[in-house]
Amino acid sequence: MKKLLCILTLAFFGFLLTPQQAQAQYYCSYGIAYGTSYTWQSGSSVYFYSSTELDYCAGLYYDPATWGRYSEGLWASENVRLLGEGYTEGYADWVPAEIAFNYGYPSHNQYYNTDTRHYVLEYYQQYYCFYSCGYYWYDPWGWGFAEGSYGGPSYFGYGGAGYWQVRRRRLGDTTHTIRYQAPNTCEPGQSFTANGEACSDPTPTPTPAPHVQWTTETTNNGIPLANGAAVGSLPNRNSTQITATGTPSGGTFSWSTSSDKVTLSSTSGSAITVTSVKKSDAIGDVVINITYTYIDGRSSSASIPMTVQQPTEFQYVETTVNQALPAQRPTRRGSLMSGWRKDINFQLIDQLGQPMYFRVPVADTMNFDIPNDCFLPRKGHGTTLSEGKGTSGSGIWTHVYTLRSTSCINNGTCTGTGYQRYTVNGFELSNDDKTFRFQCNGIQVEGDGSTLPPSTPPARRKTAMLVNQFYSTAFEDWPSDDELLNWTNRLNTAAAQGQEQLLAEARALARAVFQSAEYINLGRSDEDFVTDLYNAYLWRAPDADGYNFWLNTLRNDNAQGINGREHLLQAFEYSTDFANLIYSLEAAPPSNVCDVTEEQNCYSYGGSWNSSTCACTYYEPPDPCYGGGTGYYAYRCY
Amino acid sequence: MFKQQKKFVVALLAFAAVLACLTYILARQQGTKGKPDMLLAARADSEDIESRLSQKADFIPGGKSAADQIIAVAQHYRIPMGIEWVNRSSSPEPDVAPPSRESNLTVRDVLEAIVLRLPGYQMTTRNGVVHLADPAFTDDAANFLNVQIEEFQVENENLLTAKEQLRLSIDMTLNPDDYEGGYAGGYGYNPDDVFAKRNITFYSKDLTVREILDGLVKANGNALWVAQLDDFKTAAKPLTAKPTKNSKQEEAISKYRWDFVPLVEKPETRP
Repeated sequence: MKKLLCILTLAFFGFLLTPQQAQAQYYCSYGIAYGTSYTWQSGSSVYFYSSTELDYCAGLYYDPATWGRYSEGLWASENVRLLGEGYTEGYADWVPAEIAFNYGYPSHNQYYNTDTRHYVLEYYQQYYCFYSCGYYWYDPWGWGFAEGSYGGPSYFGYGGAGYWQVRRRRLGDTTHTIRYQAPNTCEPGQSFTANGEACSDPTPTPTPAPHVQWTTETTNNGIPLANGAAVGSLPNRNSTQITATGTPSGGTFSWSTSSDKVTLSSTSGSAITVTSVKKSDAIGDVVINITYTYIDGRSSSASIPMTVQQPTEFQYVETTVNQALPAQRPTRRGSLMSGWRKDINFQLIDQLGQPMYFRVPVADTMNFDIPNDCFLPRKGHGTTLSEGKGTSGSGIWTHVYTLRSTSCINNGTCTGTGYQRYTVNGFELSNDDKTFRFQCNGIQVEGDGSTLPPSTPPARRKTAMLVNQFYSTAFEDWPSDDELLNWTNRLNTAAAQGQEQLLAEARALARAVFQSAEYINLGRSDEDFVTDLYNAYLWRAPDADGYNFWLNTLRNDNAQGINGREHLLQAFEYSTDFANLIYSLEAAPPSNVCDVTEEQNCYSYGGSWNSSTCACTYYEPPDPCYGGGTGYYAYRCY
Repeated sequence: MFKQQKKFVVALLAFAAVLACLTYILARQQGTKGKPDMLLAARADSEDIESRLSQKADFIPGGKSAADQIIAVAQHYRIPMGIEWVNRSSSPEPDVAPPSRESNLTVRDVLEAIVLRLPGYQMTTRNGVVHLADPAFTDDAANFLNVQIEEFQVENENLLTAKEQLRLSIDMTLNPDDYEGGYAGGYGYNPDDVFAKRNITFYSKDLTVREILDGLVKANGNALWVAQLDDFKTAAKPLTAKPTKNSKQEEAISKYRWDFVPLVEKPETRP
């Protein structure tokens, strides 16, 4: 028991003798010192930094200290030039020991170094002894500078007076090196260099704030776009050309639209033209976005609200020409033709019902119903965009309608109907197809207010028309002169022998066409074949019931291995309708009869008229040339 | 008596000679269908164009391309002209520096200075019209300007209508089968166009398209023509090739590309 009490007493006194050490060990088992060397470039200067910092635990016993050296040059290969150096001390963990240094005249591609030595200041107590003296200090984390054993103060002696001493201890060194790159110089007026640095020109040229401007020309370029500003009750519609400028200059533009009503091409130029317009259901719903990319890579954007107008109608204004065309032989083959011409002025109307007052590109197609007794093809001549030149500046468009046909000579009659479809400003006006009627004695277009006397068909159709009908239906082409003359003569000869002979010859004509290699090679479908038979034999389009009946018959025959086309040929050529049509034909020569005016002129100028070729031969043709090679331009001179 | 008879014979011979001359003159007039002044007009045209080309040049064109410069000269001096451009995709039209501003240059000198810098092109004057063309293409059969039109006639029409008529005539000549029965359709134009005025009456027989174009610009008096030719020397289908039976007439016609350019955008109107 006594032994136990003795141990406890010694332990108590031992505890009391080491209170400071016990306290430090309780809160801090170790401490950390931080050393930093850092070099960097900003603009045209180099900056250096050295520091030593202590954490809380280290700060309990030490203060930080730093010695920095700042130099120019590569240590490994050349002598370095010392630019500056310094020493400083901090306080515990509160104030780090820091040194900052900068150098304003660095050389391009040169090395710049920061070299730092890091210290702590250690404190110890010195005793002045009465008879046995010494000193002690703390080294609780074993950094190696303490004398004595770890875990407690080294001392000896007693009975003296103590005071604090300090000693600097080197912890270690750090270094950091960079290679300086000179920034691009700034051009006058620039705010930023090419690598993104602010210009350090001490007296920089004032530069305007970055922005994009645009202007819209007031000249008409054919597209009804505008900046949305209203003039009266109507939108302003007369600008299509946009010119943008950016600051600083030298950048590039790109363009886009925020709707599908207008399509713009992206461009790097300074201006852009609206190149096409798609269908629009409304106005004022297009925004053109401009992006300007500055020469330093940054961008600025702007938006231009634009108005798209949709033309919807061509309104009749007046007829300026309405006349018969004289007989001519415009083709090399020399078929005599005459017809009619009519010129109409139209006014372009927008979807608001208002006239459109600017120039607009226009194109149109002419589509004829076939077959027709003018022998007109399904597709007539229209106006292409490249040839049409557009409307006038007031939206007026003159359209010239022309018919020339062999059917019109010598007061002949024929009728061709169809429709005209416009494309205006890129919009196809499918809602304003204009039906028309072409006759040898006039032309009527929907909305022009005119009326045409009905075209009186010839009392009897002629045999030559039958030949034309079969050829144009089957081949979509006219018979040659030889074919027309040959078959017409054969039909006329047969007609002279009787109706049955004429019918037999007509059947032979039909067979010659539909069983020709030319027709077979066209590869007409079953549906086309039935339609062809109706048009060729009966001169009309098929009715629905008849069409379905014969198409089913054809298909059933083919399915059963029967020659269906032969079946249908026989059915049509022996039909009552075909026989009645043939019986009604008038035997007449082909329609290329001569023009009486030409014949009269021929006689008037002393020529000899050949009625079979419709040609005039002069006994002594006039000499159109004057002098040696200088020609009257209306004649070829050699 | 003999003397009197001799006088009578001389008078008779003189009368016969006068009669023969009158007959010849009338015959010539009849041969030109009542347009004898055209003969003189042709010679006058040649003299007129020569005088315009020989005058001192007081205008140097500033356009960038050769075409711009030539047209600018033609417009400034109001010279009727026919230009045949060959579209060479492999070698685009070079930019040509304007002629130097030397003194004593004539209009012809200015034009020739521009043409000299265009490889292959030559300038000639024919029928009172200045022509600019590459001789390698001028006489080629594939050049649509050499298509001979049997008969071409417009009466009191404008240049736009004449152009459409000529375009149709070319296609009718090359593809007569397509037009055997006739044709119908139309074309449209801006009634305020500088060429909308109806001032052309022209008739020709067996002339080429080039000659007809010359005649039309002279009849109009305010135009030059510019034809665009594909480089058919390297890749082309001869014009004589007949299009397929199902080809559309409109597509066929669009092959022949030329345009009229006004010498003066807004001609002065007489009070």
